[in-house]
Amino acid sequence: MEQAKDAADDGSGRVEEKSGEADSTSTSSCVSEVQEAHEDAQMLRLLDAMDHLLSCRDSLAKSLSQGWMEIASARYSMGPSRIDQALFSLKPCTASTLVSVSRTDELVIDKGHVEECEQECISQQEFQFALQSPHKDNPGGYENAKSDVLPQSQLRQRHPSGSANRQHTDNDFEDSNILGNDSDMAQSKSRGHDSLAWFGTLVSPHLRVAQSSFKEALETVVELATSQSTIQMAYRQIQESGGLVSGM
Amino acid sequence: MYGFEALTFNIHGGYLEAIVRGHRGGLLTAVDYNNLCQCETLDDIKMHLSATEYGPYLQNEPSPLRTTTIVEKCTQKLVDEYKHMLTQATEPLSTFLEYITYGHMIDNIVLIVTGTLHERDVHELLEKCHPLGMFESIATLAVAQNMRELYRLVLVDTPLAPYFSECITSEDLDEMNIEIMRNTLYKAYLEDFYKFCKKLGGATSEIMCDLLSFEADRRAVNISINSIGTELTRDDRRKLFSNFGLLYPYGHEELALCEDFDQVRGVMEKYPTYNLIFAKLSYGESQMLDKAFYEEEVKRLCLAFEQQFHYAVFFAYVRLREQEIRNLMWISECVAQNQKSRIHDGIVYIF
Repeated sequence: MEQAKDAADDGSGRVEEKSGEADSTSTSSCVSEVQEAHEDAQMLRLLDAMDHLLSCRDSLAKSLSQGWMEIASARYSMGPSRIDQALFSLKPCTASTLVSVSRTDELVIDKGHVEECEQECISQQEFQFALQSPHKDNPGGYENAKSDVLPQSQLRQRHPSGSANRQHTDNDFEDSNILGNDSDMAQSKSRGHDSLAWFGTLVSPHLRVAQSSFKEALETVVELATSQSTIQMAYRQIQESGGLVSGM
Repeated sequence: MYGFEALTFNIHGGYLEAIVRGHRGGLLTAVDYNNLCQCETLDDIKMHLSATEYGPYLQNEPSPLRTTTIVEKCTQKLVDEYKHMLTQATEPLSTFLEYITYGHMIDNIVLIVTGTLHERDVHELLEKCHPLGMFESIATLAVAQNMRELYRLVLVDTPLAPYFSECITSEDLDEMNIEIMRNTLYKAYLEDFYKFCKKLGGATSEIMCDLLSFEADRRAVNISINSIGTELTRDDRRKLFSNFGLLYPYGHEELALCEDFDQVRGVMEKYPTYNLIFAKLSYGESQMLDKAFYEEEVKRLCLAFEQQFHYAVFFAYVRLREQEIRNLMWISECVAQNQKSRIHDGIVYIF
């Protein structure tokens, strides 16, 4: 009886061992299925990003070629001397376009080690930009800028405190000088903001079309950079997960 | 007395009319343009032009060629021919030939003033000026801060001085004022040239008044189209139109009110000549308008050669050469940018 009981116990132990082994096998197969699905998703993401990159490149090539042909048409209409690089303004002016770079942290796959759960964050750089136009009330200010740093004119707009302190007075004097310089600068920046005005006020419609083509090309360039960084990140992830698969 | 120029014209103008008709024979033909359209590179264009009268001007240019170099050298040929004719001319032909260059003089003045406003170096700007519009003391333009100084320091001693009466102000020069100054000067120049040709009388008066009227009308259309969407008011726009031409005065009143291209088309379709020009364009399309106007201008300029013993052949020749240079510029741009499909959009065949 005892032997049978022992045998039964052994049998149940063997059954328990076998069920334990089956459990671990099913768990590992589940994990590998999840991993495979994750890798497939990454691969699809990479391919989507590559498709987007190629279409961005086509679009960029078309915008640029259209822009250059429109400039040639404008020179045909207005005369070559009216559209020439000798008319570019060398006065200091603000850039008409800002590119703000924002980083987003993204959690990557759990490497799935039993002993230690390591989670690695790979950051992805995303480029976002906004076309800036000078604010009517504050020509030196920025609209729609995604930047944490205040423009210089705003930082220095400290009103005179009226303090008798010599040091304060000197600072205020310096501030008011800076303010004066800033307002001159701001006015010149707002006047020279539209680069089309460099060639005259009455320019051919071809030149306006050229300007919009180049603006479109600029947007495409930033989209291209975003796609490129997405592809690099996805490729890195696939390489790493590919290393994990071979290790297993 | 009209009709009797044959008796006396050749005494003073016969040699130069023969010279200009000889130059006219050297203008590029449709066969030349077809060969140029087959070119793959700018060096191919140079090779094809070496067989034409432009050959000596381009032969020493090193590779790689640029479009601006081709335009510059072809313009130099025109300038050499013009200067030869000017040195041989007597009055009133010499004054007539000088009138032809005042438009370039105005463009050069505006170039220097605009470039100075943009803090460019004067020497760099002088290199970009059109050689037909150069005059002494042009470099002094860089010193002026407003139009009054511009006139007082430099322009009072130039042939353009009489044209400045309408635009002398003490306002500082900015982009809008410079543009208004350019167009006001050009308007005054065209009106003065028109009066001068009328005074000459005969075939010169008949042909030149027709050509200048077309020029004034074309300018009115271009100003209207280019000022759409800008700060230029309707009154200011009206003031820039010349006081002669087929469109004067009623067409000008309507053009001053136009807010888009289709309204301009609506105005121009009332005039038989311009109706045909706008009929070539589809609705909403303004891109081929320049070529359509150039084609009409070339047709009228070629007709000027059908009659003898008048000065309009000199004006026509200079304008036809300028059109030829414009054609070469367009062909070069299309070849350089690998846009051969658009090459025929800008070529105006002369003969």
